Amino acid sequence: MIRHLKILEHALSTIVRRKYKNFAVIVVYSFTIMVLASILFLSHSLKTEAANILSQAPDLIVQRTMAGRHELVPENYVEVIKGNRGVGKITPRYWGYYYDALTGSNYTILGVTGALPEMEMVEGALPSRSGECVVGEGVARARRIGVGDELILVNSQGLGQVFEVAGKFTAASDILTNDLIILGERDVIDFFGFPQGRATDITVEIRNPSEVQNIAGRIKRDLPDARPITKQEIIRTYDAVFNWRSGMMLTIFSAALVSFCILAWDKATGLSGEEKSEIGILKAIGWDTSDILELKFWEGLVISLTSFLLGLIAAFVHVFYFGATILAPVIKGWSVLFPSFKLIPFVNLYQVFVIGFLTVIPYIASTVIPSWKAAIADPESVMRS
Amino acid sequence: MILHPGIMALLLGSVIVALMLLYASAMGVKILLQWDFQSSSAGQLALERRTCLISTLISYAFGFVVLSGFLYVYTVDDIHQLFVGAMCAVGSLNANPIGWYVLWTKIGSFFLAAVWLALNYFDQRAEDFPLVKLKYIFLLLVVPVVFLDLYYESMYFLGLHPEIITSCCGSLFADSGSAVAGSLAGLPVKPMMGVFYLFLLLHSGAGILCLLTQATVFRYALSLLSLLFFFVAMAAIISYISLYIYELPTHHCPFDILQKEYHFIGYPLYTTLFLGVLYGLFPGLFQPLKRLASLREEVKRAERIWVALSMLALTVFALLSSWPVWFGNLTMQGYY
Amino acid sequence: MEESLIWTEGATKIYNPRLPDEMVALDKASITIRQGQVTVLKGPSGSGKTSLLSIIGCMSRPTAGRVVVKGKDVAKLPERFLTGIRRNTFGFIFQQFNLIREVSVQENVALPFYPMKTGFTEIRERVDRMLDQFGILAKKNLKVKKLSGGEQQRVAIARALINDPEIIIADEPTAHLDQALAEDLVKILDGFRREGRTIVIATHDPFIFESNFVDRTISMRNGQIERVSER
Repeated sequence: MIRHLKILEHALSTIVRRKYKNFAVIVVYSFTIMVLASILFLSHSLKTEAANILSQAPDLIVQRTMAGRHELVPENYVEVIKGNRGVGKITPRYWGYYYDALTGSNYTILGVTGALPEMEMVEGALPSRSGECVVGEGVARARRIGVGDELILVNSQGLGQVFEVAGKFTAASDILTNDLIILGERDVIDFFGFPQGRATDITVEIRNPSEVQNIAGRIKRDLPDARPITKQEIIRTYDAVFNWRSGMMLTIFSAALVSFCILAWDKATGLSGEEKSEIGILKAIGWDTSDILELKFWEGLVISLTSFLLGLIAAFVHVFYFGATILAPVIKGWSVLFPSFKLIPFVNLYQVFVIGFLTVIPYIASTVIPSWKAAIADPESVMRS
Repeated sequence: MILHPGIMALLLGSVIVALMLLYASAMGVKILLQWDFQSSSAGQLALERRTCLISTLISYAFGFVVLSGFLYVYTVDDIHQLFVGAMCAVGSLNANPIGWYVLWTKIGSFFLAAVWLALNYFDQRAEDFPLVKLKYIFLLLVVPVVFLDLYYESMYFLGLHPEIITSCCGSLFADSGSAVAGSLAGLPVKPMMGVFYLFLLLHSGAGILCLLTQATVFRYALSLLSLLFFFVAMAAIISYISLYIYELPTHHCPFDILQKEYHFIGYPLYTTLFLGVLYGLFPGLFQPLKRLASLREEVKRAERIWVALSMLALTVFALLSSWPVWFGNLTMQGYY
Repeated sequence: MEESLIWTEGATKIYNPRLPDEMVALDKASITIRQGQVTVLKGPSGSGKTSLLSIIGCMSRPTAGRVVVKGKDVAKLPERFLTGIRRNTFGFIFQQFNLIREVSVQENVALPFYPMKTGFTEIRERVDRMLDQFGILAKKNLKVKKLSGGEQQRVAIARALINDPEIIIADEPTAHLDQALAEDLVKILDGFRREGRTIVIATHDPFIFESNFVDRTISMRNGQIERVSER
């Protein structure tokens, strides 16, 4: 035990002695780790956020498809769905997308009746009468409006309609409300010109979560043109999308990893004359090849852990304090109206482990052979200089 | 194929390990062909130095295998929500049953690499390299397992499609299940407990006899019992230990015990089990080395330590796994 | 009470055998080193002194022949066992001081202990004692490059002695020293002899091989033993 400590001590003193060389390695290494860690932190944070938001989403959404395309749902489907046991509240929803030529962006317009449940973070009030609206932060920014101002939208007849902004969603941590405009339900139906008795989709509450899949199956059987989507399916899709995006990013940045390994290899191979003579001296005064290998192992480990910590901290700061300025557009997806929400730090040990696996192992692997080459120096060499 | 960071890390790690071992075994073949201990040539010296590289590579590979075992379980657990009905790692593994083979190849590589390192340890203790040939022939057996692991791992992840509907732990381990895991859960709790403690007792008995006498037969017995105990313990974890830890009479998952909700109890549990079994395997496996004069004393000395460590580790394992059974809140009346 | 502590029989060292640049550094050398004696290997450079020294000092293995150190044949020993013997039996004083210049005096002297099981406290005590003995204790925290040549030499000698070796091997120890320092060195070596240590010196410096503390002189030429003379 004490042996290992002493060799570690010498490894530390060697690292400190060769500050500049090691500093260069640590900078590049930390940067590589920072990039990879940023990708993982960001996508994990978004995933968690999406899951949090979706936890309030309805258990089941029933849409209708016709000719393979999304169609409005007849309101009388509600009655059919009600026939299933275990079904709770069933609500038809009226919503749609609106292209705003003025700012060149897309809004989501959603109709509500009465108070919306679980919709916090509203500054002002929800629409209580016709002609009032609540807007998301992104919409407010794009149109430069606030509570008490007026929002003019062009309806399906091509006529401008004025809504009074009764409330605004605050920016805090919400991807979903950013491009949202909330109107009264009647207003939405009129604004988009929904045919009588048709809704965009139907949300279904289900009391026992393990029944969701069965009920979805039964709805599909009773209403062959219905397309039930479970909450789990949405969460899964989000997960898959974020996994895929971060995976893609990792693949792209693996080039950085490879070049870093080449650098590590090169640094480890290209021993300076000074280092070579040092290893020769150590061998001559009684260090064995395995001791030198251990010395090199400690050196590599100390450099790896230092860079790892630095890289993680840098990634944390980059993602959660600066909102991942560099990576955000790629991971979040492109959208004209981009939410400027604050990411909430979600980091778990698994991610840290994955980052370690992705970076430390290639580094160690690329220094094994060079270290060994250095370690087998002939002790006799010091007598022949 | 799911492009998931954990999967990429695993595959990257496995490729690196496989390449390291491939390189090591190429060196090994060279050593097998050219080794001539009597020669003092520079070539022989270079070969001797290569052995040092090979053992370093394999030590690292061994470390990676251990870590990748954990990462594999975590990753499989992390992706379970991509599969309909999957509640934990078991669901992800069932989504593509090759996943179970990966688990076995990882456990296999762990034990093989550990045995190789032990062989290497002995080889380095003697002045005449008595085990060089054996070591490198054995290495050639380890490498295919590691490659098989890489192959299965790739096939598993490539074959995963998030749409596949899988069963969750609950239904997989349901008593009516016909899969292997299902029949494990079907093992009745009381008899399983009996078998578990019987084997533990037999193992300790053999261990004590190994410490007291020099008879070879007890050492072989200890190794055999350790091997059997590994499977008995796995069956016991799935059959009833997990139930008591989760305090749920139907949750037979062997992976969830690694999670925070259960105070990470799985880590000491599996660590002691693996170490206990590994050290228990050694004495029998290395009996033949006693025939080599230069190693006899060394093996005898190490053997005592192994036996003691194996008994210690398994005792801790037994205590850890008995704790929730005796002191937990779950009562299994009606489930026996 | 003279015993042969080390003996070689037909020790041969060939560099790059069977290659165009093959070089026979040592050709069937058979010598004996007796316990408690000062033995000098004498000869011009290229005569094989250093090769012989490195073989008897367990630094390298001979291409052929036997080398027996304290009754143990080391000619075929794997390197890590050679290292073990070297650690416990030999102290080396090199032609160059072979110190790590950027590191403190203290650490340089302690380095041979690092791969061994000695505890930190014991190392510190022994290093201090050794540095005190050579009058450089006050400079123990200085980097070696800040020391004068004479002080560096003392550090090198302190390091050679830190493991309390039975045998001291010195390779051209006066090559880089002025007269005063060389005299100093001979005094120190003579002190070791009195302590009963065995000393082997390779040199072509008459100041050493003519001084009267030398017991045996082995003259070498072209890798072969030319003549052995005892005083």
